[in-house]
Amino acid sequence: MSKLYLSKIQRWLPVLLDLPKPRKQSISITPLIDVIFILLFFFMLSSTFTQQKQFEIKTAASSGQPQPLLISHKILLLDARQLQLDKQLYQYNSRELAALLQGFIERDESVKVAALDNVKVQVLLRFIDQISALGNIKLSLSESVSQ
Amino acid sequence: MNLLSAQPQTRQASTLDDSMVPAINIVFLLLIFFMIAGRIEATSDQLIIPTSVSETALAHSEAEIKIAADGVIVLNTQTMHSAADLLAALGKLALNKQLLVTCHIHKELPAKALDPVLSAVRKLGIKKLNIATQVQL
Repeated sequence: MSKLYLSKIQRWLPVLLDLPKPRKQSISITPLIDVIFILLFFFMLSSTFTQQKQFEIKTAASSGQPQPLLISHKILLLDARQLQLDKQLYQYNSRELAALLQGFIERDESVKVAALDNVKVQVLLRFIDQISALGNIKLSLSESVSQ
Repeated sequence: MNLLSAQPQTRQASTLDDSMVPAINIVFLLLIFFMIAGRIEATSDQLIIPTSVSETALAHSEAEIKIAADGVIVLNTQTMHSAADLLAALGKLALNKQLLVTCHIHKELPAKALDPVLSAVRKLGIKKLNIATQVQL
């Protein structure tokens, strides 16, 4: 009974006293915004936008069969600047090297690339990048060579 | 006095609420952007893949080899303790089909670290090896 009276008082009291109508109780959105912010921070900090690509390289297995007609050249990466092509020393960015590699592409000759064991993987891939940019070169990668 | 001051306070509060609406909208948009455009993956300083200008998107392969900065080789979540382990595990995967192998290697490692993988793929007659790279920004 008391509950009924209380609800009636709550309903009619503002009308009788000419008070502003009590507003409907709304759900507070503050915790929702808090959660949204936490989610936002999580996704901002944990998301990565780097695009992963792949570099397809032929292994020595593909050129392992004896192919007497195919001329193969050997490149040995010595460090981040120099390499040996058929035991001749060249700089990575030398025009002479680029011209030689261009010739290999035109004559359909293959190249076996290896690196000294202390040459970084990034250097090796940068070089493969560099010679792949010259054209469709027949390239295979071999195990490293110890110093 | 309290009754008089109650009205402006409510108005002020509602004005504040209203001014927050665009901010909340932007936060929602940012959240949706990061959820859709971002990719969540375990990143570590121990495995930063090399950069290249390759345009070929990384394809899914049955054999994912990860070589971290400490030189530990992991094949599909299984740690390899030696080159022989890697050869055996890859051999099992390569039994029935032409296996596609992708190697994620830390860029600062020496070329020597790639030898177990190159040796294994050569012995198993796998002709192509994919090396995961990232676009240089």
